[in-house]
Amino acid sequence: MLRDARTLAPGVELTADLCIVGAGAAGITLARRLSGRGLRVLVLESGSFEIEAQHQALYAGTMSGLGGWTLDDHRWRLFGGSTARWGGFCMPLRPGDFTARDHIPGSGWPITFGDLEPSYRLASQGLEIGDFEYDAAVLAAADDLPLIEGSGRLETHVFRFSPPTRMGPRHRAELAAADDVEVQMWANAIDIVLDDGLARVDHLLCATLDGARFTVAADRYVLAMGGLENARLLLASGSQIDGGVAGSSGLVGAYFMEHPHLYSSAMWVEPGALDARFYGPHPTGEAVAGRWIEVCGVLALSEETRDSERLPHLAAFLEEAPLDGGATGSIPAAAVSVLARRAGRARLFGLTIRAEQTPTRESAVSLSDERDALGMPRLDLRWVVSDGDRIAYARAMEILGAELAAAGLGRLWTPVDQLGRFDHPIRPGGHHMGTVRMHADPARGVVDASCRTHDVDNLYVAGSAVFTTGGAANPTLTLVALAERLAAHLIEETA
Amino acid sequence: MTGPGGRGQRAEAGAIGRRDILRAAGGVIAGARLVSLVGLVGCGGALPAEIHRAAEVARSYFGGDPGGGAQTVGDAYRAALGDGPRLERDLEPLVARITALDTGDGDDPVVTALAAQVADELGGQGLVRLDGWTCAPTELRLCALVALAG
Repeated sequence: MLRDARTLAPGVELTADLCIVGAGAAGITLARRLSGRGLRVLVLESGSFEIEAQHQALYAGTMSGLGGWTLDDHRWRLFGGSTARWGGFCMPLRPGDFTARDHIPGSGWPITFGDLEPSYRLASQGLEIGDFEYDAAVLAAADDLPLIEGSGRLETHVFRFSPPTRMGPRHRAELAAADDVEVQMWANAIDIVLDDGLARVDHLLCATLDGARFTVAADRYVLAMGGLENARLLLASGSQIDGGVAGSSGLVGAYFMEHPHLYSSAMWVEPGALDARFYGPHPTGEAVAGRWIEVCGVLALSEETRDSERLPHLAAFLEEAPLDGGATGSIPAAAVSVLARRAGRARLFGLTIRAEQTPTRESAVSLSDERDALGMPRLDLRWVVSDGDRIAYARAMEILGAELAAAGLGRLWTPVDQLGRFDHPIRPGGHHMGTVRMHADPARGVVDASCRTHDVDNLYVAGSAVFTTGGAANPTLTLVALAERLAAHLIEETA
Repeated sequence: MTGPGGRGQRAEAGAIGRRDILRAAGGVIAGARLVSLVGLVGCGGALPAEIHRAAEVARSYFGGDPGGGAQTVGDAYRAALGDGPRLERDLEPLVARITALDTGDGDDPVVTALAAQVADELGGQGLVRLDGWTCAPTELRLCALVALAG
């Protein structure tokens, strides 16, 4: 059922077994999976069915640190959430991404890859990306395409492409027809009110942009509002506890992570030395709903190399560029191509690096003094990438360059400053992670392995906000997998 | 959310801080006979015969450097080390090696041996980064010899 919260009677209380706040990738996945399970599910969606300025304006806030974007960029407040604009890139985190690494402070999820793999498979169906097959050797062999081989330090990882699935239009009719799912559109949760013991959510205070107020009382609540908004609502719900709800660890909003995008590296390739077809989007022999599934290889360092060199994870996308047109410092790629000592024209590939960011408390979201049209405090986001990470990215590229050179492919160029740091403006990927981090220890995380907040028994968080670390994979597949896992947990818990 | 963002978007590629980076410019070849390059730079006259011959071989290594790429790379290498004792010390072992390999049978055997040396370096740990390019030290020194000969 789809409903318009703007038509509710003032002060009405809506009731449900489960309330999901937010109808984006995580919220819709949860609602679909929980439908038909004997539960009354209520979904609150702030936006409309299209992107509208008045709803986007609720996202605006202040920023410091690394710039180049604003808080109403990259995230979309409507039914379907940011899947309205996503690019469809899907790759699971690697098994090693879940483990504690002593060179990545704060790393170590309380779940393993194996714990999440069944949910990854379900998420793959939901995102229409075909088989859960990410073995580059298998995929390349199936299409008779070569891989770039190194000495063991180099690996090829694989992205699969969703159509991309737009969750809103894709599932609107299904949820509208579901008797046990009620979606209240244009409905904003603005305060989480706890019971007298401060251990359970008693109700949510909600509002519409035209000033109406109502409440929601449910047995359980899931915040699925996005990587930043989940933290915002928790922090802003401070009427009973200073610092907000679920904040005993002091970590709500802390450890904000992005995927630093590093443009401008380049790889010059000897004439005839590289068949790079696997490293561009290309169709596989699999089809889903009449669409050929596309995959794309990326270059990465092996887990053993990353651990021994104490490096974070990164993925390098290749894109062919004009040999004479790429900016490669004071020495043009065309000049360096003399090192090939071969007849024929060399090729140049631009490399886009998508890197893992080491969690740091300096990167964080907090509440500003400004308020939005609903009276909610706006966010202030500080995004910082440490010098240690920048040095590590440069070192990782140096190893990548050595591997490519050793393979007889060519030479790699990376902008590096005199302190050995990657020397180019870092761009965001629109991947907002870590602000409600998952950890088994209540002192070191906000939610536990089941995505339940440590402090509040009936309050859960879904989405990339719970990521302990971000790896080098776009977050959508993992956040949908976590939503699938949470749905299974809730089904079991309420059975 | 963006996609890889980077595919097709090379934002501000021209705004890179262009600093010369040259790290650990390789090791000295063990046992090589050192050739004096004193006066190599700034002498204003002809190169010493051994240097001149090494530069000829270097040019042959790059097929005559018809596009001037070796000259360009070599100029950058010289700029990074500075035309002085540091460059001289850096080039001495290579010149000595070329001299030792040069037994009067033409350039080809020397070039073949140098190519093997470069291949070994590319497969090893001693690569250097020149203005962001990760290369074998010997190939950069060969470029520098080409550049010195002009």
